[in-house]
Formats: sequence, C-alpha cells, structure tokens
Amino acid sequence: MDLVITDMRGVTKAQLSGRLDTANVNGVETQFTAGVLPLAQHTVVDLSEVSFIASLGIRMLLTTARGLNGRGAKLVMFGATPPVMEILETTALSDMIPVFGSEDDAMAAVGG
Amino acid sequence: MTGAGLSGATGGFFIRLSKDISAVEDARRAVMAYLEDYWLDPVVANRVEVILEELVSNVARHARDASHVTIAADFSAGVVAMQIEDDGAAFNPLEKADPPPFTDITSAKLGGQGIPLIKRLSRSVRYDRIDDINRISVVVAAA
Repeated sequence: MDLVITDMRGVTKAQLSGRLDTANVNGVETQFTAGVLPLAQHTVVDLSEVSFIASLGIRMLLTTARGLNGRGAKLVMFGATPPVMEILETTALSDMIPVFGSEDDAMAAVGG
Repeated sequence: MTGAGLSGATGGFFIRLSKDISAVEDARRAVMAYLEDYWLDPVVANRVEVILEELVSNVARHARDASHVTIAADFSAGVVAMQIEDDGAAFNPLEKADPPPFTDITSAKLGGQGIPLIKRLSRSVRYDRIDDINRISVVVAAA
C-alpha cells in the first residue's frame, strides 16, 4: 500500500495505491491521518489505484473525513473502480463523502 | 469440514490455517486461485474477497480461544458457497444489531460495518454452532 500526499494550490491530494485491507490499513492509516489532518485543508483522495477496500478502509476514510470536517475542511474522493465503488455505495459512505469520476471534478467540488 | 459438506457442492476447496492475521491474506490467495477457473465477473469476485476478508479477519482478530480457521468454498449452480469455521468460544457475529445507517459525517458510527457489508453483498448468511465449532455459511450469487 502506497500513499503520496501533495499540495495542489491549497488543496491536499492524497493518492492511495494498493489494497485497503486488514493487512495494509493498519500500516497506512497513521500515515494517512497524520499527513492529511494537520494541514486542515480541503482534501481530494485519488482512489484510481486502489484495487480493494473493506470495512477497515471505510473506517479510515470516514475517520479522516470527520477529522477534517471538525477543522472546517471537506474530503472528497475520485477515480474509484467499479468493485471499490460498489463497496463505497453499499456502506453508504459515498452518500456522505462524494465520489467523483475525475480529479478535475473533485478539485472543482472543493474549490481547487 | 470438507468442501463436499457445503450445500449443493460437488467438490470444492478447503484450507485450514492457524488463527493468525496472516490467515486473512493466505485465505484470500487460496480461495481466489480456486475461483480463477470460473472466470467470475470482477464485481462478483470482489464481493467474495470482501466477505472472506471480513470473516477471516474477524476470526483472526477477535475469536477467543480459537487455534485455527478453516475455509471451504465451492462454485456450482451459479453461486459461490463458503463456510468459515473456527474452534473458539461460541460467538454469533450475526446476532448483534447492525449499526445505524450512515446519515451524516459527524454522527456516523466508526467501525462495525463488516457484518452489515457481508449481509448486503451476499444472497444469504447464517451462523451455526456445531460440535464446539463456530460456522458461518455464506452464499454469493455469481451472476
């Protein structure tokens, strides 16, 4: 599981790659939250290279979105593959954290 | 337990693993290798993976006094049937009430989404306690 965090003109972009499963979430969660939350900026999460997500990955995204929300910032996602999108929809996470088809749409949604 | 013990099974797959977090990945690789021959739709294969991940992870992380977990899988008649068993203390994860649905980000319950996810992705799921064994039987529609 890889994570790259970059600043895109005042918007945080977090690019996740690999499987958000039991084996990997514990390793990446601390990096993800520690890399995103202190910036307290609107954040776009690139899921295009995430091949799998289960409940621990859902919890990680929800925890971070809630943390940002408490700091007055939004988290949105983009690029989910159909299998990953099904899990986001089945858990209703996508009802609370918008998922866009493209990075441009995600950036536009947070004013980036 | 054998693959032939699965409802409607004609053969199938069986593996026994130590109750350890590595069992989650070992089970996934083994079951998905077995199912490779059936050319499942990627979304269906993902449902199987998610369900397997949640159930084996639950055993590895939470099954009190368990020493091992066994996984049987079988593809037949358009369904993937799986049984996940452990020899831990009696525990029915399906009887706990599901957390309330997500409505807003501040009140959404963190955690507890694994079992509801299994229920929604499967055609059926049931728990049995048989001869000091916890057994979860789950059926996933393949089409």
